Amino acid sequence: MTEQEVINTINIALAEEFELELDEMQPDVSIYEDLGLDSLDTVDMVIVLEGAFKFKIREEAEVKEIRTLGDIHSFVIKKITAESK
Amino acid sequence: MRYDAVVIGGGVSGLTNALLLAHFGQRVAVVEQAAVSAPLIRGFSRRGVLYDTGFHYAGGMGDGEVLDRFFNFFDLADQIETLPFAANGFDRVIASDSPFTFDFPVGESSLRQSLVDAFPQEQSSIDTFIRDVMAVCDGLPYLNLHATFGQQGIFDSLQDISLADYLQQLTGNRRLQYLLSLHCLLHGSAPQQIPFRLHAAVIGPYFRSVHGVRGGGARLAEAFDHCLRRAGVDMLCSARVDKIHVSQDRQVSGVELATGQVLECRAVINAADPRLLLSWLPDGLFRPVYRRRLQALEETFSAHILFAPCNNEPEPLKQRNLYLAAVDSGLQLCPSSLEQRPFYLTSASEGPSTGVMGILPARFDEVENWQQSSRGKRPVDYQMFKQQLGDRLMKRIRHAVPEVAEQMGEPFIATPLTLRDYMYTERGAVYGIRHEVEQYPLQAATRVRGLFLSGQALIAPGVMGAMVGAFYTCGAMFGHERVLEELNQCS
Repeated sequence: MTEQEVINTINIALAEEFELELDEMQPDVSIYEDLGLDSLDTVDMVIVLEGAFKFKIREEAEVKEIRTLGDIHSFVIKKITAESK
Repeated sequence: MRYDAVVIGGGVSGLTNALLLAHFGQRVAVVEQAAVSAPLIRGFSRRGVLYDTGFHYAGGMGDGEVLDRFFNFFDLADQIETLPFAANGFDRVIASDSPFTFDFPVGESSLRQSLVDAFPQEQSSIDTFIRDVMAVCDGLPYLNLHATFGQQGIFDSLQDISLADYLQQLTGNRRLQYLLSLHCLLHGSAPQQIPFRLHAAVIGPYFRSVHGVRGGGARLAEAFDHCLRRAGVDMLCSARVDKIHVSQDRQVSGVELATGQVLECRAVINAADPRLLLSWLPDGLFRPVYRRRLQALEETFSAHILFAPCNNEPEPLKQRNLYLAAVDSGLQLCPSSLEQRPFYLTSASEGPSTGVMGILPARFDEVENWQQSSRGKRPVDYQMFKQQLGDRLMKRIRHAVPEVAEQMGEPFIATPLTLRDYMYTERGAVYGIRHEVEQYPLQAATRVRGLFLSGQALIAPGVMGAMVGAFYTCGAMFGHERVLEELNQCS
């Protein structure tokens, strides 16, 4: 999967599960302020990513650092790269 | 009617939530679908014998222990008299597949000694097990008031391993594995499903003290009713929730009953099955992913229960329970063979009792053929199924403890269908929703302001789990520090 494919997969999955508009899904948007997620949504966000990529997310500290959609993109790309090595 | 909070579900969790909310000055109503509050622990009477269906014995009721502190906090303690179980063996295991018996004594060091006597080669695994179990109990906020309430990580529970994996790593001795998993009956999930951490939290308190309540769960239910009346809580029984009203700004505004009556309120605590929320709320309030998480929740095991009156209280059941168990059959709670399932025998109620109950884990599938039928209108083949079931269970009792069987009169049977229809669960679960390894824990707060989850599904199953869950929910509403401070002041 190319990086762009990964990003598309993330955007489509999140848009569907959190009922967001795909054209809102720009890397620099804040998932909390712009997309309206709150701390209760963190678990669900992890579940969506796990479902989309069939991996397990256990990196609690890194997940807590996520602020923007771009952070999610880099987190997943880094994780996929690490796991394919 | 106007309330600050409406609690849905009048079981132990709902009633504890109501008492806590009243303690914090809220005007509260509880909505319960059954005709009485706490129908499972209240049990029922037939021909003068009280059958205590849901509260047989508990750990943590000794002075200053967790349930004792909760009961004192709500003044429930004044209403009940605790009765200690036999210190040298509150649970006796009688093997059906070998000449083996084992008594679980009260107290960590006595338990250790008894286990080492039975399994002299396994000393270090026994020590590890007891140490691990007690470490879990002592580390949980609300179970141990001195445990720190750290930032609870949402991922903590994902580090869990199942009880089965834990035991297989602990020891290769299959019989010891079985004995240490026997108390899965106290939470209703199989060893492969339940996280070790939760199993330990449920059974650990039993290693310190074991008590019943004189008059059983019925007495405890009456004590709750008394305290609720005194706290000014309105108890609405035989009442079914139809809708939860939510305002435009996603704030709870009321609960509508099936009769059309609306209870206006600013907070709703769902202590009933969390899956029911979806049928009560307008569409679109929850994200699809959260809706699917709720829908995917599954229930704990149900049970076949045998009841029988007795001429006298059978000697083997005085101050103790019996587990008839296939101790060499491997780690499982509800295998397909009825004869291989652990069969729990207990006095019908605590105190001088003239009845016996036997509880066998069961699945709803076993009675699924008759699921369309209702109470009092079951078909003939279902009656035959119950007759055969009763015969098989009596055969096990006659074989293991003939002196108990001799005292027993004509038995009668409840199945998962009975439990479903009396407790208003979907598939007759004894302990509500199942907790599983690899499962993200539910949180008390939801995306709807003023709407909270509680019940056995939130933290842990059983009376203690239901009560701890209520403290968590009120902690989410008022702040955990404040709730813990109140609890500490009363201890």
